[in-house]
Order: sequence, then structure tokens, then C-alpha cells
Amino acid sequence: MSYLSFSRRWAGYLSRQTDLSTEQETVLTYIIEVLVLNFLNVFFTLLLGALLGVLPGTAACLVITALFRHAAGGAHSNSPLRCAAVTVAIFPLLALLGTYFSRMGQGAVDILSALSFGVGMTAMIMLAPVDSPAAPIISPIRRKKLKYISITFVVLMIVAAMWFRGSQWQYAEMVRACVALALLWVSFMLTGWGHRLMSVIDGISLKKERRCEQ
Amino acid sequence: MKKIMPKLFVFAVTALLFLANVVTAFGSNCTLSSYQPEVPEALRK
Repeated sequence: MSYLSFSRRWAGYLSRQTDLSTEQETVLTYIIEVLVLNFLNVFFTLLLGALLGVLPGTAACLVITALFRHAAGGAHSNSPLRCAAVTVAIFPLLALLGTYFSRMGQGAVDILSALSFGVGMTAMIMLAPVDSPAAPIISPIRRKKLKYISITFVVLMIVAAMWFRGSQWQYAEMVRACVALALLWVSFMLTGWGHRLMSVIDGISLKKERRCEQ
Repeated sequence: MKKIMPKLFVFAVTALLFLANVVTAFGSNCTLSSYQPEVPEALRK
């Protein structure tokens, strides 16, 4: 299995301290990599969102994406650096777009939300869950469960959007627009176009990353 | 201090292994970003 060198080093150190088996060390390497990469991605995404003055919208986009990516899956980049660049750029960008829509008035956000929930529900019913070679879904029962969870999340999003519509919170409209845009982004990542976009991003040449084979 | 450190390591490792199981139990995908580290064979379901 292929992991980044920092996670291999940290897991190796912890493994030596606690006499873990090779299998457990691999699990440790995996979770360290997941936690560190997610923490860095979230931190820099929120930082950029704060710098652009769209922190609530960026946070809303991240929460929605985290909910759906867990159950529905989607296209992946094969490089953590490219992935970080996409994550840090896309969510504040969606939040900026959400702010723009919220300034157009409640009608515009309503139309965007209706479009987003329509597209989102269709994508979840037809495509979710989309797994990857690095994280395959083996059990058909689990696949079915993940589809139901994805559809349930869309229904919950609709309820949340309706609740935000009546809310007096100053960021309610912006968050509502951001939720709709994040759902559109998540749905796009389930499609063949989303996978092609990631392939194009993967084709961008970067300095070779250090990896360890286990 | 020397007596606490081994216990801390065991606690940290146990917590991380538990978290790995929880994270993979709830979804096909373990990241909110677009990079998916390879899920160990032991955690694939």
C-alpha cells in the first residue's frame, strides 16, 4: 500500500513504542494520513474563507461536502497536493458565489436551491455511492445503505434550507445559497464529468511527492 | 514521566485504531477533500 512518508514515519514510531502488528501499523498509517490531510485542508480552506470575508459560507460548504462525501463518495485526485489546491480554492469560491446569489434576493436563492435539490436528488438516486479503487465498497448491502444515507441527507438539506429561509440570522441567505452550491458540487463530483475534471487536474505536473510503499 | 509515556502511547494508538474503524464504518470515503488514501484491507467492507 502506498502512503505519504510522514504518515509512515509517525506510524512506524508509534508502532515500535507499542509493539503493533504490521496490519495494525498499516491501519495506523492510514488514519494518521486521513487526519493530518483533512486537518490541513480544513484549516487552510477556512483561513482563505476568513481572509475573503466568507467564513460562514465556506464552513457551510465544508460541512455539506463532508456529509455527502462520506456516504456518496465521488471523484478523487491521486495527489494530496493537487487535492489540497482544489479543496482550498473551491470552497471559498463557492462561498463567494453564494454571497453573490444571496445579494440577488430570496427569489434567486429559492431558484438555486430548487435546482440544486433536484440535481442532488437525481444524482444520489442514480449514481451514489461512487467508490474509488483506493476505497472500494465490497458489500452490496453496504452500497445500498450508503445510497439511502445519501438520499436522506438530500432530504435533510431540503428541511434545513426551509428552516434557514424563515430564519432571521444575518447569514441565513448566504448559507442557504452555499448549501445549494455545495450540493451541486458534490453531485458534479459523482458524474463522469467530475471524474474527467479530476483526471485533468491529475495531469497537471507538480514536483514529485515522496511516497513509501508498504 | 517515564511510566506515563508508554501508557500515553498505548492510549493514543488505541484511540487512533478505534477512530480508523469508526471512520471507515460510516462511509465509502474517508475524506471531505478529493484525495483518498488507500483503505487497508482489514478495514474494507
